[in-house]
Amino acid sequence: MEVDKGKGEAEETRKVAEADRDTVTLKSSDGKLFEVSKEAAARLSTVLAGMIAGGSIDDNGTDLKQIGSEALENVVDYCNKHANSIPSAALISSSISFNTAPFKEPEEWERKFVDRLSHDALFDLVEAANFLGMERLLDVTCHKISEMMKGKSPDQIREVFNIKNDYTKEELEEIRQELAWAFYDD
Amino acid sequence: MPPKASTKRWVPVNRAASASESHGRGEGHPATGRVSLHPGAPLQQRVAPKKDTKQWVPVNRPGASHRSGGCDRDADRLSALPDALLHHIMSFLKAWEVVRTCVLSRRWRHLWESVACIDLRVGQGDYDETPEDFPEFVRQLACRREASAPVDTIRVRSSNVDDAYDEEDSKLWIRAAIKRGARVIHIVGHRNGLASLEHTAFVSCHLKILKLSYALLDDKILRQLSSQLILTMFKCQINVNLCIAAQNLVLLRCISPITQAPSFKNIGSLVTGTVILDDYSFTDDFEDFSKDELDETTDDDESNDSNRKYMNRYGFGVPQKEWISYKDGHDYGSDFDSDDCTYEYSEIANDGFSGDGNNSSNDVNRPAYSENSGHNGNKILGGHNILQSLANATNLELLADAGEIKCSKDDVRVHKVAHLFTANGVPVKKIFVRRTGSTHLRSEKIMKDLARHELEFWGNDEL
Repeated sequence: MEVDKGKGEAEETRKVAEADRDTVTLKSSDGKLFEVSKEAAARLSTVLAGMIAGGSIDDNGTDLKQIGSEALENVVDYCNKHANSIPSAALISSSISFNTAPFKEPEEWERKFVDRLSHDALFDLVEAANFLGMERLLDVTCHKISEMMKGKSPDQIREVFNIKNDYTKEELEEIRQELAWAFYDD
Repeated sequence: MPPKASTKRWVPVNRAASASESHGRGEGHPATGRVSLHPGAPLQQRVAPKKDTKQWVPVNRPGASHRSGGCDRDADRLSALPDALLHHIMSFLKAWEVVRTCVLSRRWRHLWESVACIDLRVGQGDYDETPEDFPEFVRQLACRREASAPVDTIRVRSSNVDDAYDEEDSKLWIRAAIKRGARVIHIVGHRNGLASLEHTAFVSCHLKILKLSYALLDDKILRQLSSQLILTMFKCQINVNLCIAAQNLVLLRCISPITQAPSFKNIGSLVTGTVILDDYSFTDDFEDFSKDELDETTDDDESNDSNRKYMNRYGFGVPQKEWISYKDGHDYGSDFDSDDCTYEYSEIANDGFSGDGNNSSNDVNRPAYSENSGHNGNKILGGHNILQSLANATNLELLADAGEIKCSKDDVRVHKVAHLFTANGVPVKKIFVRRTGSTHLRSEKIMKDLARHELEFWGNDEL
């Protein structure tokens, strides 16, 4: 059922001002407008849920100054896909299960979703998810990042993420000794 | 890391960098800069060791270009995240991986000390990675981490195949975590040995989520479950008649119990309960099956290929809007009697077990279960205990008042389930099937979706 759609859709900046809209319009930092279903937005983002409940949603585009259009497009895309892929929304949204259940592995489509992101887009999305209080999206993106770290040596991790090693050789040696218990002897 | 001494000099540049926003704005500036500044770049890059280039990269990472969504290829986006997010990321790593991040850079020096999720599960792929003296590792970890940092989650494998540690160790860790007020405890047995938990008492007002995988359960273990708790049992062997009596159980998942299903008592606060039984869980063939199963399953029970195994499963739901339950005589009226799509099961009872009755080779309805009452050591228990599970559904039912069997009447499972109920003393007359107008196909889809969903939601949440 997972049709890969809805990307360009949001770009068409339709300003439907009907009273009973079931979508909300979000505006990225660079002024692009995106539409997302109100239901999905409220369910997936605590921040948007709060804004919807509090009536602070602007029909002409709720300003999300922290989020660039690429990231916001991914957010909206995620919301749409999420809405399409949950077989039993009742289970998911039943109050407790979602908030307190332990992390569950990303689903297949979620994996694909984050896998296709560029390095920067991934981090933009982490920040957007964090900003919007999208717990699940944050889990999925952070999980992806953790997978990029897994099984790698410190040097490899630095390379993947461009982390600059700002220790001196002596400091590093010191740390290695102090934390020898955590390292496998090599 | 060749240019050790000189790297140090660059540190202040980095720090100050965040101030120089002008760089950050220029999208892709650093990348292009690097190329254009060195006309011979390709050659140089080939010659220069990769790491060196990287070491010097940070000069170009005035970073903080997030807002512009800039494609600053050399920025260290990871380290730029706030601590909370880094901790979140680290919560998906194993404990030793978490500690080792301290060597990455100064930014990472102390981050590990306050990570609230401690994953001590040594998996199959981890053997060459784990610290040699594992108990010592845990000891050090415990005393060197930030004393004030909470322990939210602990994940432990009960014992180690290589004898790196034993059950006494793991019990010690769990106790320690409980003392520290852990909210989530996840205990995984081993494929070669189910976790025995005899003396582990999960008494804690902080404990909110208890997940047991491949564990051996008996009556004593779960007796004192306190607090508002979510309990998940994944492939746990239940030996003696286990009765889960936890007043405060909020959510219960019992997935593929081995040998028999537990019964439930006093679970008035349960909001969602799901029992998923294997076709084989209660058959004579189980012994053989279980061996195969346990051998081929990876240590981490999240293995994706377990997808297939779920296909023959039943979902027994007992929550508000779940899948199967039965109506007790005195209150079915509310939902049922006005519905002309509802008919008594007896009307279609004869359709069952013909033809496709043997659809699955391991049929829950085998006579095997009808008589046993649990005293025969090796005898596989079945119906009686499901009886208790579901007969106690009178308790569950208080919360499950719209219960129905969601599958087509052509579906052999209807009959199986109905049989289950009747075998457990529910008069046929009290079993109703409501036709929802669904076609066979549609209901199959529902069942598939359910199976998939269940799998994804619970089978795979181990990481």
